[in-house]
Amino acid sequence: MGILYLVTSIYFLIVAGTLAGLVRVQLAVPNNTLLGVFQYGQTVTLHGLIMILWFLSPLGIAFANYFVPLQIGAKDLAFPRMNALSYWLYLTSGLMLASSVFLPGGGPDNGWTFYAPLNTSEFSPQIGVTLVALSLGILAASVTMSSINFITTILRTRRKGVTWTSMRPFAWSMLFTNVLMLFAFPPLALGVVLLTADRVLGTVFFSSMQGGALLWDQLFWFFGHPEVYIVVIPALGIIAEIITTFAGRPLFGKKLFIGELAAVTALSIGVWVHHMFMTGINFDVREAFSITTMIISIPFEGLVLNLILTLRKTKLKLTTPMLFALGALFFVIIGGITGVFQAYVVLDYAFRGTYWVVGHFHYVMVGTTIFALIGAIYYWFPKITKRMYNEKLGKITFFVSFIGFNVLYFPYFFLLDMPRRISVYPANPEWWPLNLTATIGALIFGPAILLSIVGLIRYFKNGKAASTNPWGSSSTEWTGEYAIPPTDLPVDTTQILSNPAEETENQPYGGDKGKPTYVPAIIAVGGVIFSLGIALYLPVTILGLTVLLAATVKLFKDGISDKFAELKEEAMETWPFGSVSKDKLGMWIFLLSEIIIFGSLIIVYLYVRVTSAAWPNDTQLHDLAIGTTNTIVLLTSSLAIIIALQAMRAGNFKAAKTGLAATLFLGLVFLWLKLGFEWPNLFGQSFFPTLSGLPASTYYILTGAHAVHVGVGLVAVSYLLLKVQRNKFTAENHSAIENVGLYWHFVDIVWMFLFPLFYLI
Amino acid sequence: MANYRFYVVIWVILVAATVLEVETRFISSPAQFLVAGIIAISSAKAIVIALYYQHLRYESKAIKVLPLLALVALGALAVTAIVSLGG
Repeated sequence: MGILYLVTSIYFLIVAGTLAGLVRVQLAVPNNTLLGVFQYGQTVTLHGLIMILWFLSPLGIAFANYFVPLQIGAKDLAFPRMNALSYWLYLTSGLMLASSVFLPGGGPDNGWTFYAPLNTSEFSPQIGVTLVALSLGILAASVTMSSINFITTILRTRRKGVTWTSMRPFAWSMLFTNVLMLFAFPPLALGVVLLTADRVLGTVFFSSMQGGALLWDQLFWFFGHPEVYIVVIPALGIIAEIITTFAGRPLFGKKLFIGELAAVTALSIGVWVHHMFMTGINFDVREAFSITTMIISIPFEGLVLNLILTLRKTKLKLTTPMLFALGALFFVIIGGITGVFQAYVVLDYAFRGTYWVVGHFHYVMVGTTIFALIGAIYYWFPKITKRMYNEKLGKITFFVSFIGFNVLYFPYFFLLDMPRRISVYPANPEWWPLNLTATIGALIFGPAILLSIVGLIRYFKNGKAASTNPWGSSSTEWTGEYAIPPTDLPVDTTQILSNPAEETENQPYGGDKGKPTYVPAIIAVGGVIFSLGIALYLPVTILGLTVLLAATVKLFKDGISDKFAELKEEAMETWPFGSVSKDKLGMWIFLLSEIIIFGSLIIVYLYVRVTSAAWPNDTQLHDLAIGTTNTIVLLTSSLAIIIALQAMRAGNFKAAKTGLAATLFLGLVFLWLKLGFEWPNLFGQSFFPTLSGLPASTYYILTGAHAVHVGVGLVAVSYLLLKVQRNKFTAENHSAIENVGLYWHFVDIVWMFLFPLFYLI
Repeated sequence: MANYRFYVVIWVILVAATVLEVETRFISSPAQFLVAGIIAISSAKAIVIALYYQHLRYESKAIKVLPLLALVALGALAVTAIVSLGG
C-alpha cells in the first residue's frame, strides 16, 4: 500500500507541478494573455489543492505505510482493509477533483481556501465547484480513516521492546501528524458538506449574512493551519532519520525533540485565527492568537536546534539523501523566520495577500517538505527496491534543484507589494524582473525534480543490487532487530527479535495478509458515483447507492464467514491502554473524530443563532411530542443494545438476539417518526431552507446528519443480528457487539443535544 | 460489571431527566436560566450515557482522555468563533 501511495502521490506532484509551471509562465512577463483570468484562477486553485492535499500529505503517508510498521515491529497497520479503503478514496477523490476543469463551466477559480461567499452558487455557479467540494469531503473521509489506523497501530501494535522512548523519530512524527489530522479534517469535512448543501439543497450557511464569510473562515482555518504542520512534521521526522544515519550519532536530545513535537502539535490547533486578522474580528481575539502564534515558534525552533545540534562535531557523509535533508533544514529556517512576521497583527496587515506570504509558505511547504520527502525517497530507495540509485545523478539533481528553488522563490520576498492571485500585472519595473527571475528558477527547479524522478525510475529497473543496510543505519527498519527489554523476558538483554514484517513476508499469519479484497475499491467507486450524482445529476446517486449496497453485502458475507478474522494477537507494548483491544481503541479514536464533527455542527448552529437578529420559537416550529417520543425511543434503544451485550457476556444468546432486534426496531421507529412523519409535516408547512433560511437549514442538516448516523448504526446492528443468528459470537468473543454499541450510544448522546436545541430552546 | 437491573435503573433516570427537561421548558423564568437549566440536564444525560452505557467509567484513563481532548478542541473553536463576533 505504501508503494501505491508513493506512485499516486508522485503522479499528483507531476499534475500540480505542471499547473505551477503554467502559473510561472503566465507571470513571466507583464500583460501576458496566455491564460485568461478564469483559467489562471482555476490553475492556481487546483495547483494549491492538489499539491497540498493530494501530494505533500499523501507522500508522507506513503512512507508511513511502508516504514512505520517496520520501525515499530508490527506486521502491518492495525486495520489493513481500512487502509486500502483510505487509499482508494484518496485516489478517486483526486481524479474527481482534477476532472472538475473539464466540466461545463470549468472548475473552482477562487483559490485553495475556497473563501465564502465566493464559493456559493451566486458567485461560482459552475458545477465543478460542487464536484471539488465533494472531492474534499471524500478526501477528508480517507484521511480520517488513515488517522484512526495509524494512531491505533502506533499506540497498540508496537512489538515488545519498542517502548515509547526507543521508538524512532519518524514513527513519532507520524503519530503526531495523524493526531493533528484527526482533529483538523472533521471541520473541513463539515465545511464542504455544508457548502455542498448550500449549492445543491438550497441551504444558506455561507450565502447568508449570519453565516457567510466568517463562518467559513473559522471552519476552514481550524483545518487549514494545522494542515501546515500535518505537512511539515513528517518532514522533520524524515530529516531526523536521515541526519542521524549520516551523522552517525543519535538524535540530540531525543526526548526533548519528542516533547517539542507534542508541543507543536497541541499549539498548532490554537493558532488558526492569525489567518483572519484582517477580517475585522474582535481585537482581543486577534491579540490572543498573535501570542499563541509567537509561542508556537519556540518549540518549532527547538526542533530545528535539535536537528542542527545532532550534526555538531560529526563527520558528515554527504550522500544525496543527506544533501536533501540539509537543504530542507536550511529552508525550514528561512520559512520559519519569515512566518514569524505574520504573527504580528500590524505586519500581517502589510504582508497579507502579497507575494511575501507566497514566498514564506513555499519555503515551508516546498523547500522543507518536498526536499525532505525527496531525500526520503533516496534514503529508503535501497530498502524498497533492493537496488541503489546513481549517487552522482542524485547529487546533481540536488544542487540544480537547490539553486532552482532559491532562484524561483527568493525573489518573492522582494515582491512585497504585488498581490497574489492576479493573472496579469502592468509593466512595473519593480515587479517584472523579479517575476522573470522566478520563472527562470521554475524552469530550473521543475525539470530538476523531474530528473530526480526519472533517474529513480531508471535505477529501480537497472540499479546495482543494494545490501540490506547500505547506510549502516541503526534504525529498526534497516536492521530488523528489536531488543527485548529485560523486564519483559528473563533473558539476556542482547537477545534480538527479527523484523516481523519481513519474517512473515511469505507466510500468511492468519490476518488480512495474503487475502486480497476488492471491496475497498468498490466502496470508493460507489462513493464517487454517488458524489457525481449529487454534483451532476441526482438520479445517478441511486446507482452510487446500489454499488455501496453491493459492497456492504459483500462486507457482511466476509464478516459472517470470518474471512478476515485474525488468528491471534501477539504480545505487544500496551501502555497506557492496558488490555484495551485494537478494535475498541480504533472505535474510540473514530468516536473522537465524530465528536469533533457533531460538535462543530452544533457550534455552527450556535454561531448562526447568535448572529441572527431574530429566530423563530422552536416549540412553534417543531412538534415537542414527537421530539420527546423520539428521545425516549433512542434511550430505550441504548438500553436494548447494552442488555444485548450483557446477555452475550453471560452466554444468553437468545436474550442477546432479542436485545439487538429491539435496537433495530427502535432505530427504525426513530427514523420513521423523523423522516416519515415529522419532515413531511414540515414540508407541508413550507418549512424549506430556501424559504425559511437558517432555521430550516440548521434543522434539516443537523437532524439529517444524525439520521444518517442512525441509519449507519442500523446497518451495523443488522450485521450483528445476522452473526448472532449464525452463532458466530461466543461469550468470550463478541467484541463487535461492544464496539457497535459504543457507536450507537454516541448517536444517542448527540441526540441528547439536538433535542433541546430544536424542541425546547 | 453491572447486571441488567443496573442498566434499567440508568434508563429510568435518563427518561426521568428527559421529562424534567421538557417540564423545565414551561417554567415561568428568565430565558437565560431556562436555557442554562435545559443544557445542564442534557449534558448530564450525555455524561450518564457515556459513563454507564459506554462504560467510560470503567475504562483506563487513557481512554477517558480521548473524548476530553475532542471537547477541549471544540471548546477552543466555540469560544473563539463566538467571542470573535464582538467587534
